[in-house]
Amino acid sequence: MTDQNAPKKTNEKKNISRRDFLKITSTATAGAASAIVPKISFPAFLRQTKMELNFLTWFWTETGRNDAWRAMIQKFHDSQSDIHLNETGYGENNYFTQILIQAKSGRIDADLYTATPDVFLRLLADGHTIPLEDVVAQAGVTPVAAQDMLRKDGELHGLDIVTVRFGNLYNKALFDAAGLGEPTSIDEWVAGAQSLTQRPNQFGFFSPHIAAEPFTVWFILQQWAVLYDGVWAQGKTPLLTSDPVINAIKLFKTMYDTTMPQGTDFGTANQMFASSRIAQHLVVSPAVNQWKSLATDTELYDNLRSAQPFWPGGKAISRIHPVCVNANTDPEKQAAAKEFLAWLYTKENYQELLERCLDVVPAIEDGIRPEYHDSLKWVSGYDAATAITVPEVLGDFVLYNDELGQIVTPHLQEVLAGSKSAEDAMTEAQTEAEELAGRVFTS
Amino acid sequence: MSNQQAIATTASSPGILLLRWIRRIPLYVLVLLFCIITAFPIYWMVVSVIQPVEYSLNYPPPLYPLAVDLSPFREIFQAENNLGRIDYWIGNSIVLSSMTTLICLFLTVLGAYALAGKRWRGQGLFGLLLLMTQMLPEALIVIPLYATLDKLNLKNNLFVLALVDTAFILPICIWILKNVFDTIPNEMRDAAMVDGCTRMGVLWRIMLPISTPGLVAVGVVAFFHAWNEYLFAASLISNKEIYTAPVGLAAMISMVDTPIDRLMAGGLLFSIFPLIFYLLVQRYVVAGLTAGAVKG
Amino acid sequence: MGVQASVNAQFIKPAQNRQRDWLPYMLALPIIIYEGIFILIPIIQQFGSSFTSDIIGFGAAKGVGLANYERMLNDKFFWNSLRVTLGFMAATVIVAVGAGVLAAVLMNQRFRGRSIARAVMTLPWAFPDLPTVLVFYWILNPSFGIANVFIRFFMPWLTENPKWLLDINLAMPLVVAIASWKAFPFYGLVTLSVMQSIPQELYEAAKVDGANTRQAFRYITLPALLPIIMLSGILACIFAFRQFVLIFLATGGGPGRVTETLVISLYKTAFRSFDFSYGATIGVSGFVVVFVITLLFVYLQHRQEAEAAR
Repeated sequence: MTDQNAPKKTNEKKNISRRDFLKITSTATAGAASAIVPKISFPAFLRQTKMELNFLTWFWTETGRNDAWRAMIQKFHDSQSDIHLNETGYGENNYFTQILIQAKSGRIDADLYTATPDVFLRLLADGHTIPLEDVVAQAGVTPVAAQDMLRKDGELHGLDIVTVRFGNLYNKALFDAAGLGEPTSIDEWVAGAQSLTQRPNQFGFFSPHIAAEPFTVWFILQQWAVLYDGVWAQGKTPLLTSDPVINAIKLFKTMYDTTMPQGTDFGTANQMFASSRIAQHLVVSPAVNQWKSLATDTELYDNLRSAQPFWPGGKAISRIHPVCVNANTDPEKQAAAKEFLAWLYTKENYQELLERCLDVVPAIEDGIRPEYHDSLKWVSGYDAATAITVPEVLGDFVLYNDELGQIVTPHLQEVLAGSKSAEDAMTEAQTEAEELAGRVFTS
Repeated sequence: MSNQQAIATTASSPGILLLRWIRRIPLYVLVLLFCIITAFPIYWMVVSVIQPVEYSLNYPPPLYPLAVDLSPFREIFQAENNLGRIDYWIGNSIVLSSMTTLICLFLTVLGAYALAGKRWRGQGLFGLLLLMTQMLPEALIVIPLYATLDKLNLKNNLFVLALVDTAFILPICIWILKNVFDTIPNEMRDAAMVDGCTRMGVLWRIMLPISTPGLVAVGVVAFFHAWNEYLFAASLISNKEIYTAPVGLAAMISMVDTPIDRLMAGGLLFSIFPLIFYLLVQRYVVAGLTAGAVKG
Repeated sequence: MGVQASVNAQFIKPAQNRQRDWLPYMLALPIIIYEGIFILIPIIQQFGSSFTSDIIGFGAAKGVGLANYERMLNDKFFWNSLRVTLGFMAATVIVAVGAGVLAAVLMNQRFRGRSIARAVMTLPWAFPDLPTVLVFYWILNPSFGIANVFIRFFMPWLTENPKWLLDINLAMPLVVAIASWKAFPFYGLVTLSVMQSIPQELYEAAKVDGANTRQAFRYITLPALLPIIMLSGILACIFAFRQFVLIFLATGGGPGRVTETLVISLYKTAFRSFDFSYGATIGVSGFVVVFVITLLFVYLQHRQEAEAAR
């Protein structure tokens, strides 16, 4: 008996909160509320109680970035008393699984959430985002052109809050101790990394390669083909047997065999970098903030440098990570979320966020203060690289980023394990990728 | 022939004793080997936690801790502002596992009583249905179940999670208890019914008291299952306040920068409870799984 | 026990002739409803989903008939994961149940410190999954793991550390070993319990007849254990089929795809590639295959029981 009553009670509760909201808006029935999204922003005086917003992101578990965001949100809470943000989320390797279970069940369980470029495109297509043009207008800023990939029908559906770019980040103290300068070619890079390797105490290089970290492995591997000025696919054609890709796999194998702490996870490798036992990573710029926070050695941060691009073409993948407002949450909450974003996206606050996160690629015009930029010793290599976007590197496969990754990374593991040559493995991968293309691009 | 016999008899007590000892050596070696294999990983986890992380990251790693540094424990309790508090997670897991154990015990008794004893039409089908539900991979269920519970606003609820966990461990628990019930001689039940007991009375007054160790075994199985369960907990619990220990620990693992000593510290704290719990009830578990506990 | 067989017979016979007995149904019903809500209805939903195209980012689900099944039959990864699953199941059944029976035999002996040894030998059962993977991953780290020290002690001619979980040939045996390490105590305890229920008189009688220990084991212990070994086999099969956390965190299905079981493949398809309908197809098909295997086991077990009863 009590079982039958239980669901009713919860329904009533839901109806009451909805009814309150309907009094004000009188726009949609409870059922349609999730489908129709009125663009109304509510004056603060209409809200009686504090508006609680859930902010779903992996930032809370990212060392350095979490502190930066908490500081900004604290500042926001201090600046007004109507809106309060709560942290929800998961670590990066689990985040997308969870957000997709939620999206699949019809609704992401948050008011604000962050995404990677490829996940964003999927969520955008399935209507989990709302236009945020009014936020940009209210903040009075101009988004940089790179944000255009977040547009649908000309309107921004997400606001970039961190652009990451690849570069070769190294520990200058270790380079100096070995009498090494920055590499000027890939061959020099390999030779340098090898000379820095004294197993098992010191390793010349690290790149994630274990299968338990699938996102990270594929995400970083993408840059390796760019080292030979190549791409993984063009339009609907996979290019896995092209010279740059084959060379990239071979290069990875050489570095793996001769310079890396094999079988080590990213977390432990970060720890080793922070204690000066790994000399360099091919990695995105936010790693700097993690190492800065992790390092017990206060000098480490001063010794971080990003190498001038030594590879042909000098391109580096730039990845945009947008924050979005959930289309399937109460319009009142959407309005509050927009209010927060408009506050965050004003030039001063954005600059502060960028600096606290130790980021270097601004998402808005004048988003980075020159004094801050010039104070960073490690930024010149990241700056010198030519940006290339994920769609440029993956072609139409950008929508099938993970599928392509699931084809490439197992074959990479085979090559690393020495059971197949790079050519054979990539020939198989190419066939599999063509099958994928045949399946997904026909309809 | 007679010569050998003579030797055997004259050597009598010390010789035979020695011989017996020698013949038992393989037994001791095997037992020791098993114990090393089962205990070493747990020992290694302890070593990796209590020695400073630099030692763990050396090769070869020392076989026993050369120095002791308990700061990882302090650090994971301080990691509060990142992920939530590990003592809360463990508390939540205890609540969840206890609820699962209770719900599971109740339903198990019903199911086992239905399966034990006289045959009824559909009994085989019922058994098969239970077996089938036991075989479904959780990953197959998680999406539709999430969608339903989301609509009913029943996420972030440890009781609901306990109900879900029970569903996945119930069949095997019923199977264990059915085997225990089966060993209770029919004569005993019948005698009780002649004495005027109803059949539920037989269950309550005769079957359950005799099967206490079996109930303990079922409880332990259910407890461990809920303590371990990750997939449902991870998708149904998003509120950090009610993270269960596996969800919290997995969040620590998936942070790209959690040092190994802190991970091990979390893993160790997460393991201590079931280990202690198991050592306490271990005696009963063997007896409980002992279908012949009541023979005679 | 003081129960007369005559009373027994008098009591039971008329009861069977009476109208249908509803009690078992009343007892079973709540469980059927319970399992129905939490498992059967969702699985039916998933089964329906396997006839659609339901991919995040491509709009609402569309019916596609048998297209997913057609794709699956031509999908070499599906066949690979089926092979891997069956291999993993077979290997874990043999290793875990085998080690369990051996452990039970040992635990059943009388020796000094038996109760401590029994507790220690069954400890992994109480050790949760996540810490298990964590610590094994660490032990087996090719650069710093303690396993390198051991292997080099026993095989001093090795020039470099094995790659352990990253090695194509070692990954599967290691995953089986880890899963068995975790699982064997349960089968050991179950077997031990049956062993202890074998009446001691049987052994004494055998001794009188001149049987040695080995013969007693062969003709008394083993036949008594066969049913429980079969049941342990079924359970080990089921648990191996469902095994997720250990494999996923230890190898993620790699290196290559040598440890990619159906459940791992289902998980990757549904939760990494966002293709829920095809994930459901893999899951449903895998389930059917394993169900058939288990039925076979159950059938064998029944036949064996019937034979034993004769």
